[in-house]
Amino acid sequence: MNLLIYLSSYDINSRLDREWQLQTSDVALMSMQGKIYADYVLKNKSFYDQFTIDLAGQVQKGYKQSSLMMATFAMKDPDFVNVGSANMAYKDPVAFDFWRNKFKTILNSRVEHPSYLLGVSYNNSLP
Amino acid sequence: MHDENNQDVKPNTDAEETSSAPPTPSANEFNKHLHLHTALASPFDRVAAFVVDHAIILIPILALILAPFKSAIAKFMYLDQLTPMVSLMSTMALFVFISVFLYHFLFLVLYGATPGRMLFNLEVVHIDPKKDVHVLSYALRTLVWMVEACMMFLPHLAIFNHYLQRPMHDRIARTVVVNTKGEVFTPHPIEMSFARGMYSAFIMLITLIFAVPVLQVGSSLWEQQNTPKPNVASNSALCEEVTEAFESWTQNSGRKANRLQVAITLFAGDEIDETCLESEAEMAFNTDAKLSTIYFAKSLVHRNQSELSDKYFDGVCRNDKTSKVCNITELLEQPTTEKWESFKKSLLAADDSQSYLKVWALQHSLRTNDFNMANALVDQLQGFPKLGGYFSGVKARALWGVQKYKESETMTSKALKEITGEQKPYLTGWICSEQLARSCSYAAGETCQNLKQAVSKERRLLLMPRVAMAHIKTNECEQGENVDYMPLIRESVLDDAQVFMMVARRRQSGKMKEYQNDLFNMMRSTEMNEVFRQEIMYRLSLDVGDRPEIREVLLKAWRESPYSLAWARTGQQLVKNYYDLGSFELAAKLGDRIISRQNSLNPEFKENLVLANYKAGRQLRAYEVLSRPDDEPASNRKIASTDEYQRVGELLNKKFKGSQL
Repeated sequence: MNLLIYLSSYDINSRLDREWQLQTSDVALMSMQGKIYADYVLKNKSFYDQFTIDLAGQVQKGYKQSSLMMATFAMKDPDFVNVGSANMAYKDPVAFDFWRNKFKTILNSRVEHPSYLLGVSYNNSLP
Repeated sequence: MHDENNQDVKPNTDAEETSSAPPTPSANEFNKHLHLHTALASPFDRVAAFVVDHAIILIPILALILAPFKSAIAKFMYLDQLTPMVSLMSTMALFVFISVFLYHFLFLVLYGATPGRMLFNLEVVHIDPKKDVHVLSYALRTLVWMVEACMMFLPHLAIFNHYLQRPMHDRIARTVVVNTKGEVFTPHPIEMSFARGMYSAFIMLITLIFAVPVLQVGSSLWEQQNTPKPNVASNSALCEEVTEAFESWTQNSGRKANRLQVAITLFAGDEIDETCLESEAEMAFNTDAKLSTIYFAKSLVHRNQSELSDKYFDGVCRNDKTSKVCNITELLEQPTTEKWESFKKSLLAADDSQSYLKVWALQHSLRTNDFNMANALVDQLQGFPKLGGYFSGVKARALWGVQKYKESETMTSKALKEITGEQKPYLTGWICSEQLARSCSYAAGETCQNLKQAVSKERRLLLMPRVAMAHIKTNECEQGENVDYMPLIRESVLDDAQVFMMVARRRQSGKMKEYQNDLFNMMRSTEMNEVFRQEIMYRLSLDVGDRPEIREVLLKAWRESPYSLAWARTGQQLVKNYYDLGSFELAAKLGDRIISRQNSLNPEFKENLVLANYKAGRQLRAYEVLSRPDDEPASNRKIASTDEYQRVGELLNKKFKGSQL
């Protein structure tokens, strides 16, 4: 069964991987994502640990490395990915629109991912 | 040695038989302990026991226990909090030390062996079988063992070459490791040599395995230390360079500008990088800076990323399409001559608060070779902190562009003392190539010699087209017609420069038709760098000869090309060519295009143009050209004018002098 699932999802998996790589290798886009997520974290401090808040503070100070790290954290935060990023108000609307459009591509392709199709995702774990 | 060691039933007599020399202290000790233990542990069993104890038992357990420590250290590292990071690392190291000590010590005290040793039937016993090992001896043994471990386990090598396989920790604690099952370890001498070789290889491998990550960590730390971090003030995201310039700009001169405007100005002069400008732009969202200015800064930061840059560009002009910042952004994005001409006057009339736009207009002026505007703008911008060298360099180029050659030379000398980094070779390359295009006498001058020295020290400078061109011209001027291009081709790092010189060699070998064809093809190539393309056009105009098909295409290409100093040189040569062919009207019209951008004229070109206009029946125009000032002479040598020119000149002066042009 596992082999069957693996073989049937191989093509789509590698295509999504390529798309994912393309998006995440764009340093400017990832840096922007880090800044937007840092802004989101600082606006919702009570939900985050001190380290994430400190890192967000560093992003605000202009540390590019921290903003790239923050960008990867953003992808692992379902609250931000599913709801927060759609409704937040960011100080730079041009950057936000640009990032949001690119981010939508990832979100749309995510639905095609085998783990989503088979119901093995954070969203499926919600009551 | 071990053969003898294990023959404890019979006292060893071989050593005594084979050597008549008095026994050495080690030999004495050997004889003394020979009978005590029948089965010393095999060194390989000890190595295997070590692997089991550490790689299989200790390291996984410690890795699990230390995982939270490692995570915390990574956090401190990313947050740049060195003090807690170092103290946590020390605590971690101490914890590891104590854990390893307790593991060895407790097992030795309780069972006389660690689990790994037990698995291979090994035991640590007193050197004298009649005595037990004291608890303190176990503690001392473990402690020394750990010190040896810190020395990359090298002292442990003694298990192979000590006659009782006792490294320092065994000798200090008066212990020995034995095989509890009494299995006798009797390796053949060849086997021992092989084992030693293998062991050495193993040690080398282990050393490499340890050394590679250590070196990697070291190099990454070194890199991290040398990577320029955003130069932000300690408690804010604001750049220190901008802070300094902002204070002296507003306080000392009393001029009006906000921080972001100062940052944009510094960015134009390469004094700050994209990261710094982006930080300033981000912070400006929290100030009263105009959104259009912030978007302008952002469009500059992302100018290499057209999609995002275009979005910011739209943002700049969203509220006011007639604003100066919108006009400048449009010019930088899609320059058009009409837009630039209509915008110039209002920009020059603008006050100091618009300096950040003027500096970008200055860049646009240089890019489009509008040297008159560049001169006017740079005069208005003088006095900006930190940009003295940048403006001197720009002024030197602008002065050269308006044919003020002597003043340009003086300004170049001044700029070369003030500027650093990539700006310096670019300026010397630009000035030197233009100087040599005017006269080879400049090859021995300060600028070209300065560039020559810089190129001999740093070959990578030849990657800059301007520098590469100046380097070729300097050699051509120094060596004359028979310049040897081969060494230059070999040292060249730019494809266009190599191709250019390969073609130039055809001319030297007298293959003129092939030379013309190659130049023609290179001129039409879209991949050729503009600096080389312009020089190719000029050289083709010099050697076009009797090839009307090439002449026509060259004329068309020249007409379609934008203005530049090289363009003017090619145009002057075309005027001469068409004048020589008797096409006076065409020569006169071509000349009109050139002189509209020039403040003074090259005397030889002026003569051709006056005569062309005169012979085309445009006498008034000929007189206008005649009235234009001559260029400063490049050398003391004066070009003799023809009798015809003198006669026409006298005639025109007689006819039009005193009349209103």
